[in-house]
Amino acid sequence: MQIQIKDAGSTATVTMVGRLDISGAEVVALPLATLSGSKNGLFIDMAGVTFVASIGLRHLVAAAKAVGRRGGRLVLLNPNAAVAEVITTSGLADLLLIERDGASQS
Amino acid sequence: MSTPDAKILVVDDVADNRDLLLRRLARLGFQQIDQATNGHEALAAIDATDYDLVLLDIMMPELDGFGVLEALKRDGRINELPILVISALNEIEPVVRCIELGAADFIVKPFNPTLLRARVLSTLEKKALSDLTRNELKRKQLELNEARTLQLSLAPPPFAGTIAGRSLSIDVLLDPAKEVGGDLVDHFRIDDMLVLALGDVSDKGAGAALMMARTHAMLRALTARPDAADLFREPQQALGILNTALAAGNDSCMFVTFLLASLQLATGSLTYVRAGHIPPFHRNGTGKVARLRCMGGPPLGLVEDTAYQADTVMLNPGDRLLVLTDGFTEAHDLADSVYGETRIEEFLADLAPSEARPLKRLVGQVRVFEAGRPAFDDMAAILLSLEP
Repeated sequence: MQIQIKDAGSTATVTMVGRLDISGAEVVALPLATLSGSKNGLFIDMAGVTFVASIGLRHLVAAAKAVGRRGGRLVLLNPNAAVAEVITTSGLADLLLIERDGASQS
Repeated sequence: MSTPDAKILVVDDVADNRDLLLRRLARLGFQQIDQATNGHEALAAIDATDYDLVLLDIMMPELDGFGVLEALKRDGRINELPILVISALNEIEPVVRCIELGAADFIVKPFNPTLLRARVLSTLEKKALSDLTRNELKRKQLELNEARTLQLSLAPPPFAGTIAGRSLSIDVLLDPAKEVGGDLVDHFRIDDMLVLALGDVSDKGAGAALMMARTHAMLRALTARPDAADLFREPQQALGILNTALAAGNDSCMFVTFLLASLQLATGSLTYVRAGHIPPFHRNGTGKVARLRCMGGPPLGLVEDTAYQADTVMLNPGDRLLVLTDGFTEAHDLADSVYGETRIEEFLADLAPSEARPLKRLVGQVRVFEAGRPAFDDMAAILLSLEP
């Protein structure tokens, strides 16, 4: 798992590339916790995430709830079909908002 | 370990060398010093006494220093017993070989008292530290083994027989990836119902195990309530109570995907609630497999006061219901492909009615698929089979 953070003041975009499994979750845990404590908008570019395990979902949900408590929102951008299906099947679609940007999906 | 308590063995075939070392060590405050004149005597002494340090000469009659090191390396004791090799100034190659065999360090003859003191004390200090670490690891392993035994005992035994006039069997499996894990499996009877429960905590190891045990205990506590039959007749009620309790103050957002199902034994009507869990697999008498996909709500522990939704299906004689955790479906092979759900569907479709306890075979198939990769996740499963 490799992550890149683009800070834009009150919002930030986190680009994740790789597998959000146990070791991937360790990589993203601290950046997500830090950003979700300070940003009002957190965008997670998921296009490069090939697999997500429940521990990875847990960190995303924790960040989404932290941002949400302050009235902000966390959005998952362009997850692939398999990742989006895991989120839906896991009953997390209401907690983890998904947005698609046709241009960046190519 | 304080200096006088350390037990030291001096091995040298030359009496003058031994006497000199013994005097030097005594001057440093060591009181428990034994001596040996060759390798055989050294190994016999090491067998009999728990030494903290051995000073070992290389060139000796009968069995030399290399032989002693090789013997200690063979049985693994070299990792627990530090050896300081005694060498002459011109013996560089033998010293290198000794260190490759596992010797901790070396001292050269004639002995420099300051250097001898520094090497002996620092080697003993390292030994004390590694003893401490090893003992701590051993203690933790014992605790974890005990926790594993306790956790496995939370899974009920399989069942085969007749309940309330219905002939059925229940196969159960719980296999944590580490010593303890976050999967839970249970089945019990309430009134005219058979209740099946399967859960998966969104983490692994000790933290997940505590969450699992807490969830399991709360589920079982519900069965003791006067309104237990009502709570499980509409399992969304029972699940709502569990969820609210788990969600309170759950800042870490550790969650539990859960499947709770109640089978009316008289009619075969199965009411289930799926809290974010993998949709169960339903095989009818003709071998066709369908999925119970109705979403009951989010995993337990995330959204307080969730109103869960239940769905109902009919199970007929000859039908089977398989519920499992993602330790099966997300097991990886060497090329990072997942075991997936199709293989599970095929397994269930092909099940022979006569096979007793097939879940162990399914785990075996997953292990073959993983081809030696360490277990990725905890595994739990429950298979209900209604006799034709």
